[in-house]
Amino acid sequence: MDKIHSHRQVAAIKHSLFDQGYLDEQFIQLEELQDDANPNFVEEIVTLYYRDSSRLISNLDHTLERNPLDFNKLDTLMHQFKGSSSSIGAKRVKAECTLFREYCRARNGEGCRRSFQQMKKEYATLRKKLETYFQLARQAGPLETAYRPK
Amino acid sequence: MILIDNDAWDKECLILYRIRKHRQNGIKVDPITLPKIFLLAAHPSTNEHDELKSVGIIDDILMKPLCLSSLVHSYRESVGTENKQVNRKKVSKLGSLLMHKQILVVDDNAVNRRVAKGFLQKYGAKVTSVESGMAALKMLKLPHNFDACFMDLQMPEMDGFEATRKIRRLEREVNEKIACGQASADMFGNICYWHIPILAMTADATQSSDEECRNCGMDDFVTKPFEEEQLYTAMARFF
Repeated sequence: MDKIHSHRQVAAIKHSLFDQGYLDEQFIQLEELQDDANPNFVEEIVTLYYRDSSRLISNLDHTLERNPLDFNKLDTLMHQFKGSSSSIGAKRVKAECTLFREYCRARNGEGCRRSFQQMKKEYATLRKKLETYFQLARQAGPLETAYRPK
Repeated sequence: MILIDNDAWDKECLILYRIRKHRQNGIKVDPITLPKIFLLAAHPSTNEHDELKSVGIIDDILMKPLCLSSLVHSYRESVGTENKQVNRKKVSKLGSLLMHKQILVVDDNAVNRRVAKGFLQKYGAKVTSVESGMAALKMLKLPHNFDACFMDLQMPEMDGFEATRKIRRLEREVNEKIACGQASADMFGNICYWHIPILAMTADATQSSDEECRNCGMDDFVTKPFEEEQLYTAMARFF
């Protein structure tokens, strides 16, 4: 009964992540790539994403401190980061990236800084939520153990 | 079709779970042929029932006493709408296109590389991924065993356009040598004309023009992240 409850919790968290717009269809695509040969594929990709993009984010931070701002460089960096975010289905993060790039195109430094701060918030929030999600999913264990006859 | 009473559920669920696993793991098996599983319950759907349905262990819940019309209705629903059927066929089509094909993925972004590889491997392709145009050139030195190459456009140092131009130059040189007898085809894996399909991976359609891609020698482009239908349409030209 415990296991079924855990699975229900996991399903509930996942539903809310989609309902609240944190994740999009691409995340489901990733889940479909998970199988016996790659049982933790989604968690691996998300871990890789957070590791890899931290470099991009600190790069963006430094580039935003310069005076005058190098909008081309900012745009290139953000394009990279948006690509990764898109690959894991990070919907809200991706939206902030798009906004940032609009500000770059408009050469609006203040707008860039604002949307960058907002993006970092979404990025951090998503990380916490996904960490909880994966932790619970691991605890719940594979689906078959939840439905074993008593 | 399998009809199982709610009261018998506990005893049988592990077997049913195994059937479901076969469904999920076997993309080569046409899902239409797999049995539909219906749970017969005396009371309306509970949370547990909904969950079983949402994870795909059962197809639907039917009320007892069973009546023909609701059985027919649920069965039709589980077999799927026209669109669903078409999509299922396409999935196994892409599988037969890509099975055992050797594919090179070139992208400087580690996350994109890993996701692209995972996606292609699902359809049975053997994937090698590299992170730069330079590395791609090394992999595609002739003769090589690759059947297709997915090339990211925006990469530092050497972008996708330049890498493609260089690859086509290599191929042209070898093809000319073979054509004029300076070299024989058996020096190059018995292939006398080299042209690897190169598909650009673009983050958005506006990123670069179709013309630009073709001018440097690319065959087509696909958006990333990959989409089954688009990928099938693109790959069907070559395989």
